[in-house]
Amino acid sequence: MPMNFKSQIFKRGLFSYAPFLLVLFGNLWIWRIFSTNILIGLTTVFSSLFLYQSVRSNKSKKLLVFFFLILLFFQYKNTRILPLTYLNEQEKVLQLRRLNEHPPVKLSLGSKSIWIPTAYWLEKRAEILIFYRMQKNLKEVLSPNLYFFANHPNERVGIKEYEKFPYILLPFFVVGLLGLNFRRNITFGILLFATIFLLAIIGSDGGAEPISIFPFIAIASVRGLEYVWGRISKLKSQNLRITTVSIFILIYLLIIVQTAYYNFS
Amino acid sequence: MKKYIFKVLFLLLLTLVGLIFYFYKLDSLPKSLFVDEALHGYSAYSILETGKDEYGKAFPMVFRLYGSYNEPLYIYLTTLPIKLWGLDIFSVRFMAALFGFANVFVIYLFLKKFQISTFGSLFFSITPWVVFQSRIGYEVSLALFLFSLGCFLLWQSLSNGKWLIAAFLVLSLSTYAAYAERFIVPLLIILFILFFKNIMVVKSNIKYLKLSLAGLFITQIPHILLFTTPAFFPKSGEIASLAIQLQAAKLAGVFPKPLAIALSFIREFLSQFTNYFSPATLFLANDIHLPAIPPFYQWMIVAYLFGLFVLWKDKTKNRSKFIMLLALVTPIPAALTKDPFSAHRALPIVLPLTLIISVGIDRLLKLRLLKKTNWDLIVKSALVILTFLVSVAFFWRSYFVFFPQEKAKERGFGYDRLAEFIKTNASDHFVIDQARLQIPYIELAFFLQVPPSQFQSSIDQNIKEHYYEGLPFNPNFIFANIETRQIDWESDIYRNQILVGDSLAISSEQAKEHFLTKVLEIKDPLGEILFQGYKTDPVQKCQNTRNKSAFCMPASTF
Repeated sequence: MPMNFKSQIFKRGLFSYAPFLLVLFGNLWIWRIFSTNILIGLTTVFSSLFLYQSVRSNKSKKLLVFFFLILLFFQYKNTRILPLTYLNEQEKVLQLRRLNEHPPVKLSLGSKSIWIPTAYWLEKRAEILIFYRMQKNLKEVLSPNLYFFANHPNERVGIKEYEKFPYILLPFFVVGLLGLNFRRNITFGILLFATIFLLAIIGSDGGAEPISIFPFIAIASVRGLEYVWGRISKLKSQNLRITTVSIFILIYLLIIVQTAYYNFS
Repeated sequence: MKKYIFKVLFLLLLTLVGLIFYFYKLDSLPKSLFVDEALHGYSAYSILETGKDEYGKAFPMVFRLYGSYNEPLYIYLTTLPIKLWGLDIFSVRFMAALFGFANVFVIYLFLKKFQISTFGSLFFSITPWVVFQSRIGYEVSLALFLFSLGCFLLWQSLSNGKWLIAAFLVLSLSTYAAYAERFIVPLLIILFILFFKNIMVVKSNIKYLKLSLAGLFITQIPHILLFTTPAFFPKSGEIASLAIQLQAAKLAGVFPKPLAIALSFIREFLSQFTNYFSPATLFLANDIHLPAIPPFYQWMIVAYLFGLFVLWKDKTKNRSKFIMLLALVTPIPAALTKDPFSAHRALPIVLPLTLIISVGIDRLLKLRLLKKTNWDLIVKSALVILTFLVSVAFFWRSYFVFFPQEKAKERGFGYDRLAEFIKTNASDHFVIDQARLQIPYIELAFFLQVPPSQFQSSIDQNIKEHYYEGLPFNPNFIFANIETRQIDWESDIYRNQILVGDSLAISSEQAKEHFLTKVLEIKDPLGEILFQGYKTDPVQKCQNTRNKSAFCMPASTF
């Protein structure tokens, strides 16, 4: 059955990219990235676009990998990287105190005693310091509150937090992420894992934000929006469909204004 | 037969691990008694000895504890161990540990009924958040046990409606154990009926539903009676209203006030709600309540994410719907308050989180690592054992090594020694400066085992008459040879007595100026001074002061 012009636009054309465009440009983070560095902004946009293409139709994988590697390179270059075993002065003091807090631990076998250096193992070994550092680095980036609520209620001292994405997208992000088929979208899974691993190692210190996470949040949110749209489009009443979408857009705009005012007032 | 043996062995392991984690050194780890524990312990002691609480109120429906109100069940149950072993730290913590331990088996039953691996219950039994709350003598561990049991019975009622009556009764009982459950349970029951109306609201179950609701109503009569009093909403001040107002003020020029407040409230509530599910907070943020360890072990993040994916994939199944319902409801009271992460108030959320993690563990264990079944089993068993041992090592480091030393001060360390000093100097009068000390009167009443009838007679009798009306709390107490109040430098130095305070209460210059002699110093395990006591010398003070104070006359005031 031939499709009319309107449905063609809706099914294949620009209109089907509306959620993508809304999420991609309807947030403060992308504009902040652009204002910092246009090149990084463009890379982020293209990475997001090709990630979306890859999730939607399993296409553009080579371009995706290409742009993503550039994005990861920018992430790497803009981060103040410290050795994983590095401790600042405060951490050194804490480490010393904790080394002294440990009691001596021994295993007695008959008349023989084997001393176990638990304090050294748990406080000073390079492997354990790397583990603690990676835990700390991951804590900084694996928080939905960082991206949707300006890190509220866990604001960090000395860092100007801001709402990277409007919080109305949070439920869509969750639905979109959980609804992803990682077996089918293996590229998404591998790149996500690689990004998180990189951030665990290099952290996001020195003013660099976890920009390489941007495409994943954006695309998961878009998928969530599409999932919900799929549900809404099944509603029989067209008026109800239009009302629901209008209310969503209205709330979206209100929240954009709200968060913009929080950040600039 | 093999399966049966494995089951028995697993239950034995669960019992052994539970006994160690919940009861080992319960009386001395932590060595200090937190102020809330002292309040619960002394109230139970008072009820046991006189049938009245510290204010002289006979068998109250909720207990007035330093001006707030607490649910009564834990205090009434604690009378039993106090009767058996006397008023000491072990007795106060016993019920919390017992119900924490029992909850491990409720989780086991849950996982059995879900037909998934029961390893989740083993890891639940060593979860830092759970063990910590089960080893301190207050109500949340008991409340979590009752809530978990109630939810388990609720789950059972989906296959047999008869369980609904027991479920509602146990859930109703949990509302007398902790404040958060009072708000969670009604919401849960309403949403449970709505979520599963095609099972619950059918002819075969409707009579059980009616009976359950009737039972619920009857058992809630004490709460209904309290509903109009301030005792029902004692924690209304905890609501994050200030944060909302501050956010709304920023929007003043853009939106009308009601819209600004509504948007600010939504943002505040959602951010708090999300924080209780954030991987960063749950699995990566140390020091939320224990030093150097997150509420759940770091590795559990993998199981958590797997669990979430499995639940979403099976979202139409009852199991997923049930867990999602719990996850939706349990953080609500905590998310309405201003604390960034209230480990105490948000404890009910541990139930859905544990179920999600257990679903994830089950899925992880089903992953095929090696082609040969035997090798696959061996490798997985080794991984489970290794994970368990590493978790135990991290817990030991935090709870057994750091916690008793680093958190001693905030956990009421030293009051037992202060009480001992007061006991050995019974002829002296003591003024305990409470400018920075946390409600010292109850710690001292606890350790000195002040007879409750004597304590009750020293309290403002007006409070007993208007018990549920939320009269303001006066932290100044006079009982035995003790006064708890701020030091009055005008008059206290002219009376023969011992002034006690923290390291900032009395400086060495003040001691020199007022002829005070240091008679007591109590330090925490890290060497910081917690209490110092100075004996006054009014004769010297009056003799050596040019401008004599009015308190120097007559000499009898010495």
